[in-house]
Amino acid sequence: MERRKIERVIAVGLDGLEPSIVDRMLDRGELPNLALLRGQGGYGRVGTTTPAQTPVAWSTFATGTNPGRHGIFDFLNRDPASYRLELALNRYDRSGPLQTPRLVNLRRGIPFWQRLSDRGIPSSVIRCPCTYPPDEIDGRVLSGMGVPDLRGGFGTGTFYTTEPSVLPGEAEILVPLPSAGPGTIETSLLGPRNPRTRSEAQVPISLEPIEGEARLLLHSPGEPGTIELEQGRWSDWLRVSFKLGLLQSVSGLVRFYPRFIGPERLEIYASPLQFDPKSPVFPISHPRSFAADLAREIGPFHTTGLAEDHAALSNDRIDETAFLSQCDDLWREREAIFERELDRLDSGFLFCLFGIPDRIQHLFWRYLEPDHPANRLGPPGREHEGAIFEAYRRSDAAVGCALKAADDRTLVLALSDHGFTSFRRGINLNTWLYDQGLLCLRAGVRPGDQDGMPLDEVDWSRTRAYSVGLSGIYLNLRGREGQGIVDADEAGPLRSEIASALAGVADPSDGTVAIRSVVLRERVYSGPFVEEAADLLVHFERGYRSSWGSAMGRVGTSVFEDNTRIWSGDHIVDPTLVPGILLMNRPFHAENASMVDLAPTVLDAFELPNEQGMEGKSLLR
Amino acid sequence: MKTLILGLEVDDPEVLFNVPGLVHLQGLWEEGIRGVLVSEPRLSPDSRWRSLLAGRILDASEQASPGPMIWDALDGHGAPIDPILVGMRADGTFTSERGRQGDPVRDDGTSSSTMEPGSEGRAARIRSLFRDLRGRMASRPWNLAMLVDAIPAPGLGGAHTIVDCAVALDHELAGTLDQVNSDGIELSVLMVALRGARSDGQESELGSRPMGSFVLNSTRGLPAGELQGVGIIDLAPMLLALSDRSIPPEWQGRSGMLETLSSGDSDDDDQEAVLDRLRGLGYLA
Repeated sequence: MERRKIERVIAVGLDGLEPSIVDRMLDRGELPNLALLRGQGGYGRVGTTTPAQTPVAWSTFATGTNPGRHGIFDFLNRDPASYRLELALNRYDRSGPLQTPRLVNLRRGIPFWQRLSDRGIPSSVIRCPCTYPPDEIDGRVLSGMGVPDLRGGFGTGTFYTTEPSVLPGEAEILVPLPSAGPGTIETSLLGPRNPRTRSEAQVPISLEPIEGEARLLLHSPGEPGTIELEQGRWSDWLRVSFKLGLLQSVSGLVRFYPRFIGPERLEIYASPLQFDPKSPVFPISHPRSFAADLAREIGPFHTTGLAEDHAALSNDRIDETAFLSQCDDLWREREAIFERELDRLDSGFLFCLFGIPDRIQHLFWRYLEPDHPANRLGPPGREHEGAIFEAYRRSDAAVGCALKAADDRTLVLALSDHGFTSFRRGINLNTWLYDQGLLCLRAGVRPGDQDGMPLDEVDWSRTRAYSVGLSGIYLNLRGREGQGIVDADEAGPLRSEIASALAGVADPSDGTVAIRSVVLRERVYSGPFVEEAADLLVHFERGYRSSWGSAMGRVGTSVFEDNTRIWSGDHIVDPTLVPGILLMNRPFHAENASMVDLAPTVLDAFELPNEQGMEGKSLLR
Repeated sequence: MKTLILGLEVDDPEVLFNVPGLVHLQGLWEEGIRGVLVSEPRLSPDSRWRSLLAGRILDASEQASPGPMIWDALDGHGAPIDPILVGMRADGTFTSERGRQGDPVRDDGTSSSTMEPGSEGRAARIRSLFRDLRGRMASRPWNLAMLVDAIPAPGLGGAHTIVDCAVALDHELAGTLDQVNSDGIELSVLMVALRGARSDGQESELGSRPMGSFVLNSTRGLPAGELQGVGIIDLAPMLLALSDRSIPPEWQGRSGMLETLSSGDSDDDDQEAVLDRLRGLGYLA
């Protein structure tokens, strides 16, 4: 292939773009920039990771290695000693009571932008998952998935209501309001917990209804001191400071969405508290001033790693219009940051991730399938039936920005980390293990009974295997697990026994083979962190996924269950079923392309050799 | 990490933190690492503050060369930054011992034996000293700021002297912390109340009674709790540990007892927080 010297590489990450949808829209001429890119260079599939999860796949993109070398296998893990669940993306270490908590990125390995930096080539990396804390490179990094909200969650909102019968939803705090007026209603914003007292830091707010109108004024000690809230519209940002004691305070950003403002009823949703980009409590950018610079130039912006407020929609605190309105704000924020960085890209590498297509597909997939179990209570309206396609068009526009900024010495890539499919049926792996006699519950406990912490009701003295996470099964291995009973010499045969019994399990509702295969971890992983992976990886058929409870280690009442949640699309199935897309403005070898190949490809574009430890190959050669 | 030391000599140190309604003093106490300072018979009343700053027991013979002081250790390998010292007693010890030029010691020509009696004058003096402290902190770089004063026991000053002084102290503490916090800096605050100043200017009889009380807070969010067995010479090592500085080998005090404090997080709290985070991902319920 003809090779010209490349001075700039622009990679546009389009999270979750499904090839079959891209194909259809390309055929209809709805993605002109992707079509242009296809014409200039090429278009193909890119193999995703095992499992096909966003943090796993983008970590492989960053490091050019399989998960066994970067250590990100799932969103969650378990502490084998205690069986407690752990977040697998990052953690806060505190070596002693005097030490400031140290933020640790659990993605190991070396991202290729670090390798570029070592050779004097700058990078700008915007919102790549597993970049919290940010990599300290020559250039700029804005952290992505992994950045929590100010309360430490991934998106914990607050719902204020006068309705006494309302219960808190998932990932939500419920604050009862004494009345809807008339007169001012006093309440408070709930902030992070004081690490010493465990009480929630609070900021007082006053709600002053405007008589006869579906509006009110919110007064607070924040900035600005008064903001107007209007029913059915997102408010402007409010910056507030929470005191955590005499010496500590943290600053955050919040927006409000009044669902109903009336004389008898008041319902207001407050978004998760975002780190204030001007003074984040932990670093969310490199250099640290980068986030503040962005805030000065484009205004306040969402900083949580998963900024789309899916929980509020799932909890019915905001409607689909409000959710998509927030997504629109997120698009504009991300586009503004992307264009700013494009303007500054004289040389080097620029990556920007647009994660919104993934979120919209999770929540609006049911629009593509009228008979989806999530539509059981009624078919979705028509107003938002095009939401997924609009997300693809907007993704195409982002690629257009990159192409506009490109010259003949610029390599432009557009890629998704995985595809997408339906999530119609959940499979409770722990219940299957229970039915097989491999997982036992404490005396008197039956499947579905558990109210406490996940796995708390498991009788470990009789349990040989258990499932945690979105596709993994672990043996209760003696010497590794705190109460392990499976000896090392039994482990191999037991794994094979489970794999052969579970592969091919069919859905009793229609006979569909729901589990295509179960693979041993060493078949798909290699490297120093393989021991951290689940012992077995379950590959689901399209339409199936680990059930909601099983992923958290619970044992449900039946192996199969309908997924009636609006979270109706997913991608954590057999990875071969959900490849991503890959396009470049230069010819490339698309056959058998994989996420592991992108890092060597970018290095090759800058005429740098494939680094030792990187497993893929340059697609340019 | 900057360090602020507030030192007081009072007849009954425990009263200082227990005056009703003084939210800042009480907050400092409740949120901090606190405790009673064990008695140290080898220390004379005159050498207590100096021993605190020197991290070892100093006697009269060592006045000329007390070894490395806390400001020396806080400097680490960086350029020396003179400490801010306000309200020290007029015995000249600090200026002669620092070994380098710095702010002249400020005590307005008074000493504990010549302090003006009466609660109003005493409270006014506290306010004046804090204003001076804040002014200096705002006007130049600093690593260590220290203010020391004495509150005489009831007697000549009337029954409400300590309360009135504590009210002034609480107010000035709030203003000082507001000023420092608004700068967004990392800060450790040590407040030490030593049993001492009587209204007649004479030191209290110490004997085997506890030397006083202390409370240590930091923007790092130290776990609150009581720490036992702490001596006055252990306080400077604790401050150095908070500033990630090495403790001079000549020092006798140690900071190791801080490591015994629990973070206060329970396993269930941690696990519930993890579950809350995971639910926020959307993939799990």
